[in-house]
Amino acid sequence: MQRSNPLCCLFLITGLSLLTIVARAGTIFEDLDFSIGGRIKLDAIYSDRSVSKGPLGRSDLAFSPGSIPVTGDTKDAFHFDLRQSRLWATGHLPLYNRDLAAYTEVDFLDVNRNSKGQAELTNKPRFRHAYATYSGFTIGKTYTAFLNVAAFPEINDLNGPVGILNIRQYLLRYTGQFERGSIMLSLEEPDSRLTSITGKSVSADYTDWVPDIIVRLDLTGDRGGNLSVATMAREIRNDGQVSGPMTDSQWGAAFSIAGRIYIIGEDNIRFSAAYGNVLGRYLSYNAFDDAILESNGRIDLIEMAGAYIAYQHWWNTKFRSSLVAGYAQAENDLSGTPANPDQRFYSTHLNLIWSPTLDGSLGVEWIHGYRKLENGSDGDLNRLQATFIYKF
Amino acid sequence: MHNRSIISFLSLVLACCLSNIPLAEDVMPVPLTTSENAVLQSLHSEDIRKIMGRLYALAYEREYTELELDRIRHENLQALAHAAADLVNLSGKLPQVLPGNRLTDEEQVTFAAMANQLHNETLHLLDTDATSSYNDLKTGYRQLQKTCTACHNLFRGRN
Repeated sequence: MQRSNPLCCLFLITGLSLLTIVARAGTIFEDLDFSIGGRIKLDAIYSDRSVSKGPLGRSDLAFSPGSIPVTGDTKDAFHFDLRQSRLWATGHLPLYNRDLAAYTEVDFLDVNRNSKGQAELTNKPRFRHAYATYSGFTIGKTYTAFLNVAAFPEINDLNGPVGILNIRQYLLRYTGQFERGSIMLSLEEPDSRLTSITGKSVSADYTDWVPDIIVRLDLTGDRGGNLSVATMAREIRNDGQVSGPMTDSQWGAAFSIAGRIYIIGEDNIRFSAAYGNVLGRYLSYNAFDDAILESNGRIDLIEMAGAYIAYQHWWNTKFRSSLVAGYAQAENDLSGTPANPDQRFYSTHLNLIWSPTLDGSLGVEWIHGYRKLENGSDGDLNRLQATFIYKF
Repeated sequence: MHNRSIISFLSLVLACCLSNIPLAEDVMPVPLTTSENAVLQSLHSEDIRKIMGRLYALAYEREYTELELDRIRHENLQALAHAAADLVNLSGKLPQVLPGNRLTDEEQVTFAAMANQLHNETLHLLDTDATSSYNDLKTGYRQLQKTCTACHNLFRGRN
């Protein structure tokens, strides 16, 4: 049975309480600035290899390197999809001369396990973000501080390239501003993901109680560019429930540098590079686990690195293109386990996006991904994704 | 209407008014004489162009949350307000810079009044920016846009 991490419950309850305060304040305070909005995103996605073996899954609609098939028995697939459409609500309330702000955002990519244990899209709303901010503090669920959103390339694909640190989770964060940037201290949802001796990814998140600790420094350039350096410390635990009575825990660290640099006009380079032995679930959309569980119950942290670089060129004020290349690799020590985890990935995204109005965009994108396992088996995926977005 | 849309729209109108970044919809170019062009070019502060470019591109950001976009827009608007301070200095000198023989006395008075109005509104924008009130900022930009448009309608493209 899946249980909730008490730390997540604390973050969620506090965040939702602040959201409720802001929402109810609308009936009390005239100063409340409340707005709703959203986007409609229609995708047409052709893959030369079908990713999900069962029902339609998220990886059929968003590039997940860890889901690239490594066997040759797959067919091509075509999907229309509206599930990446979003609805959001924001509230701003002046409180003691400061801004109490709250934000919620949902999309429709909720997944449930069916009777066969397969992940199945439900079409129900899924919380992407739910958080509140006040006086530099952020509490609730949103992007990890380890991800620099400014470095996220503009692509049709939802997940991003290999090497990205794309994760949203419950957190308590303080951001201190200074003239040329900011510094963040963030305590975030812990979740140890281990490669079991059978090779299956297992999670012990309900016994993880030490939050992931992240410190990030952001520097802002004269032209709106941005550079961030971040470090993260995590405790990875084997709670004993996935490998008999043996328990183990280890601390590790990871580092990242990311940013956006404007070159000529609005043309820009976006990049991210990360290295460490606890990058695990943070890197490349769950492509790797945090550690390998050895047969004696001990855990072996996985050293890994990932990076991407993106160049965005504005052909004119209506047309622009991005070329993105990403790479990630793990150094798995397989001496104590028969598991066969992923060894490395790379990806390429190339697109052309046309925005005839400020609120609407049409884009077409080619995605190529490659995956290789430790036993040498590999596979690749080509995907063509056309996207229409209308913001309202 | 949603905050993002309002701010984006107003920012772009202002961009059109103060810089050379066009709206998504095409705008018919208005021919300028050499002297007028020189004066208007002096208003095309490089800082303002950069800020407007960033505000324009923000409309297409996909991964920032709206709160983050609010914050970034606000930072850009603060920078814009500071750049507008330079514009204030220039606008005060406009009546002296424009060739008087092409404007009647009445037009010169009108132009000076509008320049002063622009001056005052920019100062007001600087004041309201400091209060961090979104609605005040929106109102300030609406008024600034009206003044820009009115002045351009009267004096831009005179032959």
